[in-house]
Amino acid sequence: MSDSPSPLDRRTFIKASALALAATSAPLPFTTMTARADGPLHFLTKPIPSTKVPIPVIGMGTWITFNVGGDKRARDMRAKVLRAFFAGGGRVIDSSPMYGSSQEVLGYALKKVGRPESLFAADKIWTSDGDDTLEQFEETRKHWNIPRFELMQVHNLLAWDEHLPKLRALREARKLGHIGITTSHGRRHSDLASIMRKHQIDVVQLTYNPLDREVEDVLLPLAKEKGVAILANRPFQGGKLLSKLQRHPLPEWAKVEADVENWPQFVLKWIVSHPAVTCAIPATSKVEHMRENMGACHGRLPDQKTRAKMLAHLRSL
Amino acid sequence: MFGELDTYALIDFFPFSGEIYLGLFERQNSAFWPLHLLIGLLLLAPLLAAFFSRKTPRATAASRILAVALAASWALVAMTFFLGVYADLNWAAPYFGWVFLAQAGALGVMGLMGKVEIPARAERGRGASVSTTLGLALFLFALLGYPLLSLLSARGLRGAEFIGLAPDPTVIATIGVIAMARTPRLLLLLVPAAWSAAAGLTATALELDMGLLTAVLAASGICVATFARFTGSNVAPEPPA
Repeated sequence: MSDSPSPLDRRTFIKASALALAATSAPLPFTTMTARADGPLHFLTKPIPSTKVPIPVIGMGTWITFNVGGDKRARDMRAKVLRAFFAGGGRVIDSSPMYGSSQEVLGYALKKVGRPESLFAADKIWTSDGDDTLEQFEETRKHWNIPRFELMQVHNLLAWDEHLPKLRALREARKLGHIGITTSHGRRHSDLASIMRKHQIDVVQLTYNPLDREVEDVLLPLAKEKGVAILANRPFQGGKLLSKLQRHPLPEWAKVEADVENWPQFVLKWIVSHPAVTCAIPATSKVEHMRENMGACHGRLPDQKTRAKMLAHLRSL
Repeated sequence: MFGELDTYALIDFFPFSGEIYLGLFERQNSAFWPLHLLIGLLLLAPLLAAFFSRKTPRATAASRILAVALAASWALVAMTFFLGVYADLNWAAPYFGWVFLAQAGALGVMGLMGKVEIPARAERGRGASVSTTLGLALFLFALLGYPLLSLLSARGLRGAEFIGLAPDPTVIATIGVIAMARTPRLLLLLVPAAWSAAAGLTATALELDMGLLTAVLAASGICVATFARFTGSNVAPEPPA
């Protein structure tokens, strides 16, 4: 299997350059880690290390929330959630063929809301048959009704060795911006580390939150070393973490030190302030929750000292 | 896909919320109403005819009609639920659909062969067995009680689960009928048992209002049916010559 370096195709290059230019001239710098405490509320982005394409630190997952089948009322509600996501500056949307009707509902919502040029469409290949890679890619593209994906990931490492070469070919044909591989719920971490060491991958998606921190030992340092972007899924542990936290008052210092307004932002800012994490992808079916989530894209990220303080506080609850 | 089954958690099989799952029944009900009444009538009439028949030939004929009506109910559930609305949400639903269709075929064939026969009153003797009594209770509960329970929850009758369209009441009713049979055929209980387990997992994972009701009722029905199968308690012993 050949592992050619990630090509910076023309489209990706133009996008990255435009964003970089905008960042240098606009008052809101896209660089996040050096944001000033007394400045305006910065919109937080981080670059994908292999291509330098910047993405907002908060994206949107579709697991469970967008799988509503033919329920028209629920579909329209998801369109409103998507509108709130875009209104909050969101760009990265992640889905999978495994998520039932999510892709198709996403396509419905994108058509209803209007697809912004800046959309960073991320999806997955989920089939054990390596001959089906291209067919599933095309089927997924039709569900979204978009010309290309910015990121296509091998879902849960399923038949990854068969899918990766085909995804590389798609990237070389400029039908795809980045290649990734995913896991969740802490599964198959050693296999994932082995793939990251031996193969050139742009993005790894894994579960990371203040309660699921196993990835801090090997995978996150490895991602930093190899220049792999990290998408953090299940940031709220499927909502369980937030249910626990909502019973407690938000500490005042969180707002002062990290521009945190609520518990979702507290958790999300803690996650994306890890130096190796590029973006967190919470899923929600409620507009007000989406607004809260996207609020984590603004203001300062906690420095490592504040980050440690946040974790200590969470542990004390 | 299933080669990696060990890497999946229970939650992976339920990529949707309980609210959306229960909404499927509302959509089904509005699409097929008033088919519910016809299905209920087609099942209740032959069951009562068989149960109250004094003579065996009449009970035999009614039992065969009942088995075919039950088979049709399983096929309807497969087509309208598993291969219909549920397939949109869950990639595993069509597999259940094919299993339900197979069960429909087995029920129909065995029913026509007289293997799902409710004994006439004369055969049952004076008092009905535990299996017969519980079987009848399960059937009537599945037909009437199960949908009415929805009135106690937020979904109301609009989102109620009806026999012949929703899997849970259909499975409970079938277990009831098999438990009442002269010789309960345990092979016909395999799929109902499997779905009851799946229904229990679904209710647990999605925190559904019906909870483990289906699983508990099914387990009790299967236990008494198994007992009746090995003791022959559903028919009165032959009087000594």
